[in-house]
This record gives sequence, structure tokens and C-alpha cells, in this order.
Amino acid sequence: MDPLQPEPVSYICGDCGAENTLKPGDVIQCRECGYRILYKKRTRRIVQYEAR
Amino acid sequence: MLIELLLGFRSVWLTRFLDSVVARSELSFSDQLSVDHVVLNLNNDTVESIWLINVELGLGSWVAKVGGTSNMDFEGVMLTEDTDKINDRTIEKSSDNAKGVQSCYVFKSRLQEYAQKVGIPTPVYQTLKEGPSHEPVFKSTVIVKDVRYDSLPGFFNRKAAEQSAAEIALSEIHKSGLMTENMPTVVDEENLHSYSFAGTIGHETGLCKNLLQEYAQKMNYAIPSYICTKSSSGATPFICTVEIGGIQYIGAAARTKKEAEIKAARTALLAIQSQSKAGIDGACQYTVLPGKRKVKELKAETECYSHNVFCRYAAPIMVDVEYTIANQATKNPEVKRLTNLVIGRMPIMLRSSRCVLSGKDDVELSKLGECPLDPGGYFIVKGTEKVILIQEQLSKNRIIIDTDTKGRVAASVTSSTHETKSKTVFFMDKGKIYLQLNQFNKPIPIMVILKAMGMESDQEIVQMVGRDPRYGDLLFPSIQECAFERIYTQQQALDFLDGKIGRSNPTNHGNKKTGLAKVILLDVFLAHVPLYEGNFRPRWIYAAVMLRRMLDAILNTDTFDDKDYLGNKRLELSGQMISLLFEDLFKSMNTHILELANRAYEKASRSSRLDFTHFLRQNNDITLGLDRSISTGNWDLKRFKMHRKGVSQVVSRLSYIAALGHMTRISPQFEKTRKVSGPRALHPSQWGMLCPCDTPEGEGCGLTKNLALLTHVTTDEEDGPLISLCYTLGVEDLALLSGEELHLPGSFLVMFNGLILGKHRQPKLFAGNMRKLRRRGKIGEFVSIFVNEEQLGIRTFDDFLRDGLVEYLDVNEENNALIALYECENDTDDSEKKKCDITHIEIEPLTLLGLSSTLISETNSCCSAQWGNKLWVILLTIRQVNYRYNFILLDKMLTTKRRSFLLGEVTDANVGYDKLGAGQNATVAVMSYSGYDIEDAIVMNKSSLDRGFGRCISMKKYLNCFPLPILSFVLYTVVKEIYGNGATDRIVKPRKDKENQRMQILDGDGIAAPGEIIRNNDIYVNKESPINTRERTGGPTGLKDEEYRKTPAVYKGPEGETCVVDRVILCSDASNKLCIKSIIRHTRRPELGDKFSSRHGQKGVCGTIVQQEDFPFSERGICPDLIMNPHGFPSRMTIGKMIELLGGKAGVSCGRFHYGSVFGEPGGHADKVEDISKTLVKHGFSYSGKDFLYSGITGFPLQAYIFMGPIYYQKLKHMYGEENEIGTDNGVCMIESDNKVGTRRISLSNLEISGLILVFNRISNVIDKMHARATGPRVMLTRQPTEGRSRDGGLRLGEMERDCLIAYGASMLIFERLMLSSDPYQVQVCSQCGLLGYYNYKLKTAFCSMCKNGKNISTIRLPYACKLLFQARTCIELQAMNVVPRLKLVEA
Repeated sequence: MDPLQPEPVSYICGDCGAENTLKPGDVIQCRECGYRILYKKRTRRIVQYEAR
Repeated sequence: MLIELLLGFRSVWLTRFLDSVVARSELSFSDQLSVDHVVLNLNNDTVESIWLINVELGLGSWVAKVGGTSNMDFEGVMLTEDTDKINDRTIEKSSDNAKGVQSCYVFKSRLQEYAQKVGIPTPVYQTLKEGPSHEPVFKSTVIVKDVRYDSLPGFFNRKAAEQSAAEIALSEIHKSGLMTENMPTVVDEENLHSYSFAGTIGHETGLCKNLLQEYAQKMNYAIPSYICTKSSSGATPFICTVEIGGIQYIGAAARTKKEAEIKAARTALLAIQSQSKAGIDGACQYTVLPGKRKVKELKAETECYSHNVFCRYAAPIMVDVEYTIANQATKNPEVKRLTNLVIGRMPIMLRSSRCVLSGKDDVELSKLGECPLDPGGYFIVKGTEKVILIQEQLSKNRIIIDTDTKGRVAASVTSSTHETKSKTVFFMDKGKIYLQLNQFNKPIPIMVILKAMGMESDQEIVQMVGRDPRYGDLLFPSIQECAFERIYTQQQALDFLDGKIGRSNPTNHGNKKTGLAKVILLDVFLAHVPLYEGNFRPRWIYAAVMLRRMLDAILNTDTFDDKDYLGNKRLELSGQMISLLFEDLFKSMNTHILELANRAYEKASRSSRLDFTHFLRQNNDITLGLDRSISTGNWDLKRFKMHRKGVSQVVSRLSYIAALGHMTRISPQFEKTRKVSGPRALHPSQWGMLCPCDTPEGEGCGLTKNLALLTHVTTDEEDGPLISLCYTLGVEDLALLSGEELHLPGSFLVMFNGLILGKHRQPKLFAGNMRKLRRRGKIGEFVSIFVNEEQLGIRTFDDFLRDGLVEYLDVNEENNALIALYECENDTDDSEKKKCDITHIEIEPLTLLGLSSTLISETNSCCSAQWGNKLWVILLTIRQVNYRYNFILLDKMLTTKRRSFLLGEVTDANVGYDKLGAGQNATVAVMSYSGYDIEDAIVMNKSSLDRGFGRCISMKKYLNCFPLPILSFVLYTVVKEIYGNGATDRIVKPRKDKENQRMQILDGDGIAAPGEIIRNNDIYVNKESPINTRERTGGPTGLKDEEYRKTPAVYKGPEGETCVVDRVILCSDASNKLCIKSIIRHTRRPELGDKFSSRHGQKGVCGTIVQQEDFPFSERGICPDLIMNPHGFPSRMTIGKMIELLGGKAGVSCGRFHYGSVFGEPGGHADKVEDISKTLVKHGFSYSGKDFLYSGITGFPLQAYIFMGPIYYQKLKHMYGEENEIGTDNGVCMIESDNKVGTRRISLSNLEISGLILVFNRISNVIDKMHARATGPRVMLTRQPTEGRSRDGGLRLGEMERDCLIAYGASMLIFERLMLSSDPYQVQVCSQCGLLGYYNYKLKTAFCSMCKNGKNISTIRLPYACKLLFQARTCIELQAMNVVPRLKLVEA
């Protein structure tokens, strides 16, 4: 993975909801509460859905 | 003196005696107490205090109760008494009670005394039982003179709670100053708060030993150990030493060993007594406090209850270890204690009392992320939810009379005790009776066995069996055979048996066979009948009873036992299964550790001191073993001769109801493959216990069962008190009866859990009394009592019941009850059912059904054949995924769930089905339309689909695991395991500059973000793996980009559909690898070929979708959602569906839910059709539910009135074999029909593979079934096209199709299909030798390696499979088996 990544992707803790950034080789763990499950945030791109 | 007198009496007489004593009593209560107590001690060795309570229960409330101990928790102190004093006082009626009972736990009797003295009514105790039945908590209230005194809460037994209440009452009364002076007061130090033994200690009785034992128990010492030595040869040669609490006391010399032991105990007692007197009184104070049960505290981990992780939900098992170690300094053994050592982790059932979720309310559960409606009852092991099914078994310790495979009459008993499990079979062969026991290699004549146990007299044997001459006749050949063998004495019989012991007997060491027979008789033969000091009498009486029942069966075939009778079966719950497993694992661990320790000690050089707890700490056997068994479902316990498969199953999360129903499933005792009809048939005894409908179709039909709604599977009741109670109620002890007396006419045997207790002369009275006690809540509510007239014996055993007005009846007890279905039956004039005869009334008739069956509204109005074939009704389990966003459970779900208009009042609310509905209310018009509705097909309204009818979401989860560095040390080992060189996978940021349409949706971290639309072949995790995974190439960071190859995760989805990434989760799995879970959502609307069903099994596929404009409509503008063909009704006879339509229509128009409970009409739980019709008329509809419709196409009125109204349509899971139906319906989809594999477990993973038809909402959507291909992948070995939709396989032209083509004569088509389209292959054949040659590309000639030339080679084409048959890479071909296949070539 490119270490010089401009915008680091952040993840949301499954327990306390805090935002976390992860670097390669990091433990998958919330820095605030130590919860071990992180969720990826919703995309910030514009998505067009088909209402059918 | 009195005691000796009493000894001679049986308990019956004793109680009568006591009765009379009390009747003329001026005795004070302490006196009665003492009498009682002594009686107890002499009568049997059970725990006294309990006995006392029983006395109280049995004879009214005249005897005061005494607080006491139960052996489990020390909540009270045993009352102790001086025997001499008792004698005096009972006879002389001494009024000296100040020094009478000197115990602190006599609050109840004090209170009673007080009440009597003051002249108020005796105190009344009301004890409440709370908590689960296996772990009750008691709270007591005593009412004295209309004042209520509550006990402290939280007692584990009834008695202690009552004592506590009495104590509080006494102290309150004392405070209020009501106590007169001559009353023994609570604060009387000497009387109450000093724990001391009686002033003098009995000389002649064994009471001293008892007291000492109690003391030891009380003080938590080890049981006193007695060591007797014979010192001299004088008149008093025995000296005994007793050790208690680490101190040794030497008693005086005595004549016998027994006496010596008593004397030693007395010495010890006196010493202890003097000590405690010397000590401070305050230190010895005891008050009744809630006891603390020794429960290993189980703490659940926080990570566990989130299902999101790969995990097990378990709690540590903590033990206290005590071990001896040699002290190096003093060379003395030193005892060490270790507390709270964790030896393993025990999986915990969710929502059990040990679960963190138990007792939490909905809000708390929601906060924890748990579904409040989740039923629990399963385990989480290795990341999956596992339910341990209820296991059905034949009752243990019960005589079963049956015929064996050879048609011989056989009586068998499976004895099961803590130590052994054995099966004893008596059978009759050619008029003679034999015993079959695994330890003997041949059947043993029964008389030999009886003689070996010491019943030497033939007369006694016959007497034991019964005096009826017919028994004698039947026994005669056996007796003769025994005499023929010249066996007359016990010794001769034992010698004979020694010769018959099988070689495989594990206890058989070398040639030493003598004495083994006796050991077998002691340990194996009828092992569940306890023996006292090797006295075989109980066993031979038991054997005689077995014989008698067997002979009865021969004389009168009606008395055969029915193995399918539910009363002869027991259900094993997960707790029992796991405890067995744990016992096995624990014992294995012990031996394993012992082995390890021994090996370590044998090592010559030891650098450090060996600490064996090290092994204990490292040992993981229990955790792994529990996990393995629960996750695989294999219970392989050699120790208990248990080999079971499929004990646990993955919880079926197809729907809420399916999951709930899974917990009540009973796994059969027989194998499913057995072609048996008996066990499969619906047995009448299952009424109300097991659901008659809910059983799978196919091989498990009738074997796998489900519990009915109100069934309660009970746990064991402690038997000691019950046995004592039986004796109290007039059971004559077996030990006191001769064979002659045993079978006197009119005497009934009392069987207790398969043990013979004795006999009783008035069985009905006895059973009645027992039942009364049970109803009053005095004995456990799960005890079942019944009189068995056929077998002439009463049995009491642990099973079902509840106190108060509602009772648990088990199958056996049902035989004694006349149960009315409805209350009105009670008033009937029918002479057969007289009012007085009815004993019980069914709570609700529908409770005879199981969970899933009751959810069909108006089930009783439907023909059972509609729900299934034969007697059995198909399982109509409604599927709906729990809305909890839980990663284990993801699947397809309906977007909008609705509640049905017609509810089952009772079930829906209780089960939560009204909250977690699984379908939608569709307005159905029953009419013919367009011809696309043949064969149950449905015509659907396109606008309804646009409005969201039947729309569902399909969720799929995709997993990606990576070994990524987590902790450098831990990781190193993990990664090394995987790649061997420390290299790891990596996730790479997509290079957007170049190419790669497929990487469009990836985020900066190389993972697709939620919300993105994902298309077929898109990459959602851009993973790269190291190319070199063997050799060490530096650290994980040291690899360059070129050293990785691309291994991206590619999404395979339907082409042209919009799927969306729903959520992405990052976590670490069990082995610390990074794990990325992506959930991809696909919203689907119904389309042609999707399957729908109402709750009545009326299923059909969508035949066509029609514009709403073309749909018929009513005057009110109502347009149906779907049209169903009326031909569906006559053959299926689903009247219930019609009623549902009516009820629903009325419900919609009047605005209230109508009820359609099963069998509900007489009980008033369901609405009658008549009433519904009235409602319809009131709201302007036709009473018949028919409407006046206009055709949507022509605009003219339809010529008939159309039956139209709302029906609840939903998705069902069932009918594996019926996939073909869809195919034939309109030829839209191709479905494999031979997919029985793996349908036993319906897990998410094999949902698609097994092709389950999940009706409605496109759970078996056409899109998941639709499949066609021209060319595609092939199987490596055979070069034939792959099979199955999932592998993009070809469509098989099977033998049936081939037969059609042959019959039709389409030879070229066959040729093309079989020879060219599948696996054509060009070979060189030598026409001379007929073998296959090869083509030499260098020389450009074909060559035969057999003939060593290429002269006669010709080139032909044949299927590759054929070539494989001749010669293959594997060794299965003909040539490898020395068979030469030669091809004969003919000119074509």
C-alpha cells in the first residue's frame, strides 16, 4: 500500500462510533474503546440509484 | 428403650404411633421433635431434616419442622439431640425443655410452641418458588395471628426460607414484648445462639458418628476418617482413631470395631464441645442467612455477545485445585491450594441463566445490539450458531418387554448409573430363560444367575416370581436345566459363570478368571439397583420382577411394552449432552496430565522444580473438545459408549419461526434410513406432547419430531426426599418383605425411577396422596405419579407437573386422567363422560400442535393432505430473516413485512409472529384470467409490484481474510504458518490512471466503499499476494511490487442488475488475520416464475404480470393484487384459506383483526364464519365474500360474482422435492431436482446449492435459478462440461432423455449430443492389435507401441471418457487391471 496516501480512509468503530484511521500493519481495533470491529464509511462519491 | 422398640416397626406403624402420641399430647414440641429425629436416624440414613419436613407434609402440620442441612449448601445446622434424654422425656413426659433442643435452627418450632402457648392458630407458611425450575429460589412468609413476616430473600431451599421467616417472626414478636417469661426466647443465649452439642453423648448408638459427621460437614472439614486397630487379644481388643479437622482423637478400647469407632467419635465430640465452650459464644453464633451455592462464577466476555466476530460464546471453567508437594526443606508433604484456575472454556447457551443477556429487558438488549425477540437456546461456536437438538431415547432403568429379532420374548433393562451403563436382557429360548450380558460370551441360564446371587432355593425363586402355577410351569424347564448342570449352591454357580466370561472383557487380566463373575454381578448386572454391602437381595428381587413381567407377557400378550409409547421415552436436553461431554473431556484431561507429569518426573535431569499446574494451565483439551463436538455435532464418547452424529445443527435462520421451531426439534433415536413403520407412525401418546403435524417429509418423516406448544421437558428431581416420602406414605420396604408377601393379591409394587421401593396395599390412595402433595407444591412439580393396572405396580418417577390449578401431566400419568377438551364437556349428560370422572381440562386444544403448525390460520378447516401426505402435515415454516443486522444471519428478506389480518390469537402474540411477520396481505381474486394461471400459477398486478408487493432484498456476504501484521510476535508465527517465509498479503490502492474499469468502485484503501453500485466482475477488494511464499526474502515489508501477484476479490453477480455494497466490516479473525467482510445488497422485484404461497400451502408460480388497466376491478374501485385460479380449491380442500379471505375482508372493512386460531371456534378464540358474514353484510359486501367485478379489458361486468378479499401471502420454506413443479409450470427456469444432499442442514451457504424452494418473495427467485449456456468450463479429469448452475455448467442429457431420442429414432441427434458436444477426443487406434497408439509429432506419423510400427493406425474420434476407461492417468482404468480393451474397427 502506498504510504504517501493523501487522504487516509477512516473507519467507524462498531461500539463507540469513533472515527479511526488505519495504517497498514495496524491492529484492527478502535483507539477510543478497543473494540475490534470497524466499519467502513459510506462512499462520498455521488451514486445514482435506479428506482424500479 | 423406645428406640429399640421403634426399630422393629416399619415406618407406617411408626407414623401411626407418632400420631397417637401427639393426639394425647401434653408433650411440648421439642419433645415431639426429638422423637421424630431419633426415628429418622434409626430408620434410614437419609438427611434427617428433609425427612422431618416430609413427616410434616404427610400427616398434617402437627410436627414442628427443624431447620437443617441439605448436603449441598449449609444453610442451617442440623438439630442434634441426646438420645438418652429423649428416652427419658418421651416416656416420662418430662417438662424440662429448657435443655431440650439446643440448636439454633429451631425457629419454626419455637414459633409453633409460642403459638400454642399463647393459644393462637399455628403459624402458616407461604413459600414462593421463583426462578427457573432447575435453580429455584425460595422466599417464605409466615403468618402469625394475621401478621405477615417475610423471610430474607434468596434461599436455595424451601426449608431455610421458612426458618428465616420464623426467625424474623420470633424476633419481631420478642421485640413487641409478647413473649412470656417461661417461653424460650430468641435471645436466650444458651438455647439458641450457642452451637453446642448435647450435654452428654450417647453411648450405645451410632449417633456420635452421625454428630461428628455433621460437625465435619458444618465446619467444612473432610469426612472424619476412622482407623481401627486390633491391639490386644483381651476382651476389648479394638482401638479406633478418628481424624477430623487435622486432629486425631483416640477412643477407648472396645469389644467390636463398631463400638470402638463410636467411642472414638465420642471422644472427639467431647473434645470439640469443650473447645467450643471454652471459646467465645459469639463466635459460634449462627443465624439463618441465604446460602451461597457453590457455583462456578461464569463471566461472559464482552466480545462474545456480539455475534459479529468469529468466536465462541463461552465462559471460563474455574476450579480449585489442591495438591501435595514435597517440601524440599522439611521433606514433609505440603498441601498447596490453587483457586480459580481456568481449565477450559464452556460454551454458554444464549439467554440461559448464565448468559449475560438473561434477565435483560428489551431496551437493554437493543443497546447491546441484540434482537429482543431472539429466542436464544443455541450456542455460538466457531462463529456459527449451533443448536443442540433434543435427543430422544428409550427410558433408562426401565423394564421393557418386547420381542427380539428372532421373535423371542425378551425383557431388557438399560441400567445407567454415574459409573456404568449396561444392558441386561432376559430372553426365552425354547421354553428356557436365559440372560444376555455383554460380559458373558454365551447366554446364561437364568437360574444360574439367581443362584450365583445367593437365591439358592428353587422354592424361593418360584415364590418370588409368583405363586400362580402357570409361572411355575413356565419356569420349570429353566429350573430343570440348572439342576442338569448340577448347580445347587452359590459357589457352584459362580464357578460356572467364571467359565463363561468373554475374552474381550476388559477386567479380565490374564488367566485370572476366578471371582470375576462376582465382580460382574456386582458392577454390571442390573447396575442401577443399589446394593448394600454386597447383599444381592434387591437385585434378585428385581430380576424376579423382570421374570414375572416376562412370564406375564407370555401368558397374556397384552402386557407387552410398546417401544413407541412416549412414556417409555426420555428426552435429553443440551445440558445433559454437554455434561456428558464435559465429564468425558475432564477425565481425559486428568489422565493426560497425569501422563505428562509422570513423563516429566521420569526425566533424569530437571533444571527447575516441576510444577504440574503448568500442564493444567497449558491444557486446552476441554475447550477444544467442547468446541469440536458442538461444531461438528459428533458426540464420540468412548467412555460412555456413545457415538452420535448430528447432535448439533446450525440454527436455521430462514425465518424467525424457523429458528424458534428449531429449538423444539427432537432428533430421533433411530437412524433415518431404517425402513420402519412403527416409530414413524403417529402414536396416540404423543397427543399434546409432540406436534402431530410438524415433521419433515422424506426419510426423516415421523422420526424427527417437534414439541407441542405447551410441552415442558423437565429436569431431574432429587430422589432422596421422595423415597423417604414414599415410605412415609405407607410403602412397605422391600427389605422387609418375603417373596410370598411381595405378590399377595392386592399388593402393588412401588417403582421409583425404575427401582423397586416396596409394595403398597392401597395404590390409588397412595397415588392420590402423592398427587395432593404435588398440587400443594410440597414436592416438585415435575414428579409424575401413576397407577399401572396392567403391570400391577405403581411408579413414581421424575417428570412433569406444576402446582396450583394447572398441572403437568406426563404421558404415563395421562393414562389415569380423563381430560376434557372444552369446559362445556363437563356438563354433558352423556353417561360415559360423567362430570365427576373428568379430572382435567385441556388448557387450549391448539396446544397439541407445534409451533409452526399453529401459525396456519384455521388449520382445522384444511384438509391435512394439503399440508402433506399421509398422516403427516408438511412443515410450513415461515421464513423471515431476523431484522437484526447480524453478520451470521444475512440472507434475503422481504422489504415490507405486514401483519396478517386474520391472526391466530393465541399463537401469534406469544410467538412474536405479529411483530415479525413474514408476508404481505394481498387482495386475491379467485377467478380465471388469461390462461397463464393454469396449474396453480398466479397472475400478478404490475402496479402492485411497482408499489412494492413481494419485493425483497437479497444480501450476500463475502469474506476476505488476510494474514496481516497485528502484533509483531503473534503475527510472525501466524504468517509463518501460512506462507512459511513471513510474507503477507496486502491490499493495494487502485491505480486509476491506467485501465481498469473493474476497479472503479474502490476507495483509497483498496476496498469498495458502502453505497457504491457494484456490477458483475467488479473488484471489491484489491488484494495482492506474494509470489514467493516459500523462501525467506526478508520481512513482510521488504517485498517489492513486482514480487506480488494480483489476487483481487471479484464480484460475481447477475448481469445487468444493480447491486449495492451495503456494508464493509473490518475485523480480525480467530488467528489474528485481517478479515474484510463485504455485504452486497440486491433488491429484487417479483418476476415471472417466482413462487408464492399462502399460509395454507397453496403455492404457485407467477405465470404472467399484467398491467393494472387490464385487471378486473369492482364497483368500489378495488383491484386485486393477484388472481388465483379457482381450480386450486376443490382438490386441495383448503377451506381455511376461504375463511381467511372472508375474515380478512371483514377485518379490513370493520377495522379490527379477526382471529383464526386453530380449533378456536368452540372455545371462542376464533371468529365464526357466520359472524364474519354478518360483518360483511353490515359493510355492504355480499355475505359470501363475492364481489361484482368488471373486466379490465372490455369494461363489461363479469358474468359471475368473484370471490375476492385479502389473503396473507408469504414465503415458506419446504418441499425439497418439488422443484420440478416450477419447471413444468411455465418452463421459465431450470432446476436440478436431485439435490437432496445437504438439505438436512439449511444453512445459508448451501441454500443455493440445494435449490431449496423458498416460496414467495422470490426467495427462490427465478434469477437464482435461471441458467443456460452454450459452451463453458469443463472438468479437468473427464473433459466433460461442469455440472450445476454455480459452476456455469452444462445441461445434462441424461439416460431418460437418451431413451426418448432412441425411441424417436433421432440417431444423429444422439450422436451429436453424446459424441461431439461433450468431450470429443481424437485417438490413434491400431486396427491390428486394437490398442490405442500415439501420434509422434516429430516424425509426423502415428505409431502403435504394441506392434512397434505405424502401419495399421487409423484415426478415430471418441468421447474422452471412453479413452479414460481404457487408459487413464489414474489407476482405475481397465489396462491397469490387466484387462485389455481392444477396439475392433469396421469400415463405415
